[in-house]
Amino acid sequence: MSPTRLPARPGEVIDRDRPLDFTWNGRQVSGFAGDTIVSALAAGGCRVFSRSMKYHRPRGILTADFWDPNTLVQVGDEPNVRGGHRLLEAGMQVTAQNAWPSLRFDAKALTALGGRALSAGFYYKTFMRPRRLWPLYEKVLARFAPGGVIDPDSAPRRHEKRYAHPDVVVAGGGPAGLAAATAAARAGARVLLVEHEHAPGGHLRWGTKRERALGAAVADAARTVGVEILTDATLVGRWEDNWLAIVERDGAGGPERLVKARAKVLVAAPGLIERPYVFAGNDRPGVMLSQGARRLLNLWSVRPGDRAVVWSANTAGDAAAADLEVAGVAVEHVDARAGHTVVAAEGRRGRLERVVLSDGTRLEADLLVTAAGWTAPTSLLNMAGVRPVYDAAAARFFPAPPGAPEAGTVLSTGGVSGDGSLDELVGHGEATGRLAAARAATLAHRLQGATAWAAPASGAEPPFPTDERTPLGRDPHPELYRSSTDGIVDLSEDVSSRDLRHGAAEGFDSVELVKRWTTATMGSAQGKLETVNTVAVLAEATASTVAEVGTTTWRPPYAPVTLGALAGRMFEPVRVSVLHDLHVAAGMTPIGAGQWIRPEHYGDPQAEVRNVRANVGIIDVSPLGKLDIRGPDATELLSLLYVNKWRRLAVGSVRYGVMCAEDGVILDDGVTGRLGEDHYLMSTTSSGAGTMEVWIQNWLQTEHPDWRVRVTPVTDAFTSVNVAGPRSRTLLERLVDGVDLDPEAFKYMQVRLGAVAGVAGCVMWRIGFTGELSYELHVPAGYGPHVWQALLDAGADLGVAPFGLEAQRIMRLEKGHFIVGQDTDALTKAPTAGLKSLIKLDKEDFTGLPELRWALEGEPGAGGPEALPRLVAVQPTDPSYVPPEACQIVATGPDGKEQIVGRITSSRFSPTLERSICLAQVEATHASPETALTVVGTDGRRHRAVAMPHHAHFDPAGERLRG
Amino acid sequence: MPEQAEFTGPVAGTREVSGTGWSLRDQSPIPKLLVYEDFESDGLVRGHLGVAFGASTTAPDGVLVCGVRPGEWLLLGERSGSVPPASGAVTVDLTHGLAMFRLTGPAARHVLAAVCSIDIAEAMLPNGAVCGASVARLACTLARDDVAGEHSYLILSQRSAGRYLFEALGDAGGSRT
Repeated sequence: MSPTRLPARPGEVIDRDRPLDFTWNGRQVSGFAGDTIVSALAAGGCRVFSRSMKYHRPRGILTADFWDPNTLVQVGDEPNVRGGHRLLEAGMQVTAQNAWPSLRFDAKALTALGGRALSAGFYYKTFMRPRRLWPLYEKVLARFAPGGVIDPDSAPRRHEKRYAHPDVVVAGGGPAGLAAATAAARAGARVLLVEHEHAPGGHLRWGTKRERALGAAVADAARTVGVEILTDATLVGRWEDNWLAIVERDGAGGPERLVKARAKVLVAAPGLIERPYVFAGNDRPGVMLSQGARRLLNLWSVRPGDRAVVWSANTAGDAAAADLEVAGVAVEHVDARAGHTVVAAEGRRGRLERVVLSDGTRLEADLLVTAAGWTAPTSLLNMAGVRPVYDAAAARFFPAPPGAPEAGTVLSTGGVSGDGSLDELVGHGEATGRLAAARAATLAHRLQGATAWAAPASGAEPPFPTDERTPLGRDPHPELYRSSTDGIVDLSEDVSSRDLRHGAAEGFDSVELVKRWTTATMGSAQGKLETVNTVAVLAEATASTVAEVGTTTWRPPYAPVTLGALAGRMFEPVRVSVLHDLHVAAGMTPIGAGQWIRPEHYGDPQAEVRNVRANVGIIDVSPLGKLDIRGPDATELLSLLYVNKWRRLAVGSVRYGVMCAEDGVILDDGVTGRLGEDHYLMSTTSSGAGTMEVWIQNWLQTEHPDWRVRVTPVTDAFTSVNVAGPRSRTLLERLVDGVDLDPEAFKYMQVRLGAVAGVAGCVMWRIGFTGELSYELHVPAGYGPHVWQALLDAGADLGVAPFGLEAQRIMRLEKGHFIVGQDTDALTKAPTAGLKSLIKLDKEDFTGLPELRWALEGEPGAGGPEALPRLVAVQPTDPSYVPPEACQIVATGPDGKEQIVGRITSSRFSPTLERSICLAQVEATHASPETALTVVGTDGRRHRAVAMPHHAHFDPAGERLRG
Repeated sequence: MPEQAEFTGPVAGTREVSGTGWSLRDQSPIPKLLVYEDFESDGLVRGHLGVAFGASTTAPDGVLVCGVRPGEWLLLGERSGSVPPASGAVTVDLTHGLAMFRLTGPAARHVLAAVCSIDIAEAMLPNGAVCGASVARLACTLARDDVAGEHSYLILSQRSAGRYLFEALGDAGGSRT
């Protein structure tokens, strides 16, 4: 038997038939299934579990639960594990935190010698100056950073998400919460109950035999009526319309999971959290809260000490004393209600040896149990706008009476709302559950009626019931916060009552300010143990009352959560063409283009260019946006969207168009083919496909709902393949049916419908982004691989080979075709890109017309064309120098100083011309052909270049693509 | 001329995965026809198809007719008689443009809830319901189409994202219960 493990007791949660071995600071120890790390260690006689954050004082068990600030440990590569909560597993490697070289001999404890100098504000005052030493300060401070060690090589863990839409969410599985959940479920509501601990029941789990029986009964009842109970889970935040974040912790149930729940009604039933008392030595190992002692005794059969002083101000403390006596502990019961207080806990080497009372009595003890009162964790209610109000007679805060904006859908029950017998708490919980269910029913009826796809709501909407619950009472309790001595207020952050007084003296006399100055309430306990004591000490320091000081603002999360839980399972949609697997098999180097994964090249983009220029190449351009536009007003729509004219476009022809926003800035470009009198196929840029669909629908639905036109996105309906090169026609002649490919029958900028490789329903248009004779095939997507392979097979003797995005980008640059978003930016108006001839100012209307008219016809000096930059082709004088994109172009200004006059927007080495080629945006005064330009390299060197007469570096007359 | 073309779906390799209480099948090859009410048809198409936005019905020829938006329907299946009169409808064939997966089984709702943010409880998404929904952050059409009394959902997305969606749904099937 372990030194402090008691014989088997009724109600214990450990399985003595399942011993578990683990290590503590490298030493082999054991516990049982059902133990927490801390209960197993305590059963083995461990008294010190960590060192405190700042002064490295030895720390022992305080609460023996999730909130215990003294028992954070490292488990393997996982830091800051809550040892009072985490269940023991075989093989765990547990080590203490904040101690070096060992927990017993911690060299950093020397900082305690300078404790007075290390008071709150020490860092702010000391490390501000001289500023140049900050990097050194940072290194030193990092060595004193508290907490565990993060291993950057840790294997990634799985984190999950789930959505839930319960009618009622109950936060807290104590007697009132369980009763509320059960009553709500019985009333027909879908109920989700979230319990912080490993099992529902709340404080009944470590209570008397009757309490344990009642706890089990109410938990069984909840399960029986279908309440979904999440244990070892915390409702960490509440936002508008009861949007709730619930974290199910990593454990036997599975990996950590973030549940995003939209509840119609939230019932907060978090119970009460016992509050420590502030006195000299209150952080010494052996000083424990009454609930901590009872948990150790009654859940894990661990005797927390041999000789105890129980200082009690309430029945919970009395019950702890009784439990200890039953367990064979010698108990000295000191009644706080009779005016006795503790002023000091004394001892050596991290052990409690005696307790000093206010009357001078010194009691020998190795355990001091305090029961000084309760904190009502009202934070979930506060997140809903409910204000906490202090009641001095009951010595705690309560949620304000209903009246807050969302009070109708946020209810509370149990200890957070008031006091009462178990029957009264259960009764209040049941009434709350019925009220929650009834209100949820009204909201559900309303929601069903407003949702087109929901089942029809039956009958008339039930009335939203008023709150007719009988409020719980409030038991009187003495106000016990700090003794006549100073002690630690925030055990997570090592903030003392003296620190808080100093903060107030320095002018931080509001609770929000002193919190930030001292970091009180900002540690791992997140204010659950220390907020009210902080408020009380500040009230004392400022000669005000607790009610006047008020609380800090409680914000999400209710309890600390891992970053992994928040990040969760990443959902980042990835899109691939139906040809993707063929590209992979062909050895593509992939590149991300928005959501798409595309082939950048297949090994040698320069060779791919040469092959297209000499033979024929095929490229997968499936991501090109495609919109099917039909209806009698389709032409009107195109005329509105594009800057050029569309009314005379013949059926069977395609036309290039540019769309601008209202400010004349280029939005997108592409070609559109007229397939029928009222039927067009529009293409957009790959990256602009989604935006353009929204843009068009916005115009249709808000400005022209009367237009008879249907726009359907069909990007994914087609596999799009561009067949480019002087031999492209020869290749297609072997595969195309139903289309005369003769250059006189199928001219440049025309569209035909036919079959390719036996696949009917293909759209073919003759366009030339690469500057070569080329055909763009839009094939029903499911047959894309068939057509792709057919092209490769049929053109083997023609030298056909796939080419990727890089080769395409080189060839379009050789040809001088700009790319929206690459050669244009959010300020680039259409005239900049050389589109003056395309913009038809004589059209009745189009998007951006007024602004473009101003840009093209404005008075000199008043925003006319000379004010706009120009897109020009640029060639560096050194043909081997390729300036990186975005390099600046500079010129000497009138003042003799160099000034920026433009930038390189695209640049590549052209394998066709065997020289570097660029596009650039430059000021109009530097855009004339043959203008000498100076390009600033990334190393600062100046490179000479010259502006070219055409955008096209290659085949400016377009003879090849028209061939 | 090359041999007969075969339809290639969005999913690589196996087109069906399953877990405890659920199975997921790629049904992308099933014909899908988008039908708009024509501009002057005055409700002719809706009358013919007999289903409003948010609902679905199975036509006598077995085609599932889904009201995907007001005045828009998606017809899923090999049609023989459910195509509305040409004078009353505008149709666009989306067979190749949409991926379609069927998630079936007693645990199907649980699997879907891991990746879908809307309320899919019985009252909010009964059998026959059709809605737009974000599934694994992808805009999808969701149709509840129970099979032999068992929960079953048709989930349609852009074809190019189908592989991602199939994997995301399969992964969701491995979530904690």
